[in-house]
Amino acid sequence: MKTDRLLPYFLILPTIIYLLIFVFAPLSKAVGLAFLTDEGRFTLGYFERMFSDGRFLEALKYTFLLTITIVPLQLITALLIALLINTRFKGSQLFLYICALPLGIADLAAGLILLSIFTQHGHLNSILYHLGFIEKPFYFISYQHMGFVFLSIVLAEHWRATAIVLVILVAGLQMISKDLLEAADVLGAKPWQKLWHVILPLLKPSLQSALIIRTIFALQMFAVVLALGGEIIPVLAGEAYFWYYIYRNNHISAAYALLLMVISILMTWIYLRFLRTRSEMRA
Amino acid sequence: MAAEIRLEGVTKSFGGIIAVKEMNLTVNKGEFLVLLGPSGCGKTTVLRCIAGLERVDKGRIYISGRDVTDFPPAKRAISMVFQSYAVFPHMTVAQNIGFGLRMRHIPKMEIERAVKEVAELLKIDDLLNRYPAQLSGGQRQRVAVARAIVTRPAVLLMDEPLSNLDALLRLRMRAELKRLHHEIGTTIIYVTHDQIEALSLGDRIAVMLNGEIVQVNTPTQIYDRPADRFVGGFIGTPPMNFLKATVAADGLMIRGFPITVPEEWGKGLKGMIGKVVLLGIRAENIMVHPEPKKGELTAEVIVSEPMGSQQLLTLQVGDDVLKVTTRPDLRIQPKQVIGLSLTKDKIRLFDKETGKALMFD
Repeated sequence: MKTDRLLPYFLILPTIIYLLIFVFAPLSKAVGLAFLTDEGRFTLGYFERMFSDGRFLEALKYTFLLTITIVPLQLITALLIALLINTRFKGSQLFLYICALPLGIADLAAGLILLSIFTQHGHLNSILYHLGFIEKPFYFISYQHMGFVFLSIVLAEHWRATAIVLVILVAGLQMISKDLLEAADVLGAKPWQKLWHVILPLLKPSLQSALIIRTIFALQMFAVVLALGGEIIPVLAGEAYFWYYIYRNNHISAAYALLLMVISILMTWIYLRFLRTRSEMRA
Repeated sequence: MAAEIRLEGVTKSFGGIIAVKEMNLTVNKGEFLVLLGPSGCGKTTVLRCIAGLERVDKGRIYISGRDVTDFPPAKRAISMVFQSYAVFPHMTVAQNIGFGLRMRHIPKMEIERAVKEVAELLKIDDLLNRYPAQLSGGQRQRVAVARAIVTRPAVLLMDEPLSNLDALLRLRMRAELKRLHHEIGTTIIYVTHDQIEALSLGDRIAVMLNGEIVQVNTPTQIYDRPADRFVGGFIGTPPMNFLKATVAADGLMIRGFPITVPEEWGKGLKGMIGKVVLLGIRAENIMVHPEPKKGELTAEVIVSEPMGSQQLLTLQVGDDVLKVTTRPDLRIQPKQVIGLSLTKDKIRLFDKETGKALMFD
């Protein structure tokens, strides 16, 4: 009897040990760095320094701007493609694989690929030049054209990270019973009514997962921004990096990291709260 | 309100396999028609073609005289109950029932009234605020039926609606469906593989095999006068018995014993003297005599099974096996040799090769 009760805890022990070593230990270290001076005294000084930094508000602004631009865009694109794939047209499987291909591309690589298009002597400039639209290269990536930089980051992220949303949504759509969709048909629902009243509500758990995953990763966006914008567009994760490697201040770097974590937790809580599926509503 | 449905030469195949072959069928206004057949006979495909969930390859479908062949389901004035019930898990019972009306933008007050009315009809008015996960299989079934009839469809299609219920509940729902049909008067097309369900529910039964209709008629006619060997063997518990018989000058002979047949057959049988035919007779139309009379067909008892209200005997006649029902109190032992007499009006003859019924009238 006793072993029966202890067995589950024994089975999760490896996970707990893993989490303690690789998650909890670094996390407490980061908390320590953010709140304790080198002498070990408690201080809010690092946070004050972070908040008063000239680039802080810009970084916060761009992190949120990028997130609220990219995530909804990805969700809509992925939903449209997923619905298309779910019609099971001939070759839909192949189409899914092709769409999922960017999953295998590292974010830094994605940023560099886009950079090779938009940079001064990149593909876009050479095409425009050969077509006779421009006389000399156009500086897409520069302080003068923040809009282009922003757009190229959105484009890179959209291209690179929509696939994960797509895969989640395709899996979610496939879990919806065909009978329910046919029932909607015979009960007189038009296609968009079916989408709104049947498909989307039943897809809610998948949408929720996709939103949480994508939002957290969008908030932590870094390599793509760095590759395309350098320091032109500051983001929170980028600031954490710069403070650590360039300014050599790991306290303020930790403060940025903690702030990001708090925002991520908050967003996840909001999604869980507002997209909640009541247990009795599950199939 | 109820509609007539007409299928003309409807053909449907899936990847080279023909599911429905050149089917013609007319379902009358307000009729309860059962499509009956073994699994894979194409009965569900026919239903789905009528619903508009499948496109036909060939042929036309008319509902109330209107050609709906190329219409989507929503425009066909039909409704359907699925085998899996397919109630929406994210909606309450009331929302489920009102779904069809909501899709048609009926005013809220009217929906509420209509939902309440059908919920009362199906005795689920106390469950309106529950979610499907909180309901039993039988209750979900009622929700599915309520949801299908609330839109007052001209045709109600039902695809094996009772097959997921336990035996007792199935018996009760069967009677309820029959009552419901009397009350709402809609044309119903009902698919099942359960012949008892078909016999008890249908105004008429269409028996299907390999994508074709073998026979369409009232339950009594189908039971008493099956069109071929398949129908006789598929319908009835136990199924119809088949015995090899030889046509003689004055009737039939089975293993040298004369069998009396209706007089009006005489003319028809004349041309067949010497031919071997299959004699079909149902278990309850064979009389058993524990002491065989002289010149009477005899059989050996293999098993006797008491069934409560009756007794089921398995008998051997030559190389044919017979099922016979008798009074429960008749004392019969295995290995006993008994005499048999057949009710002559209930005898049916079939061609030995084609299995088709031989008609002499």
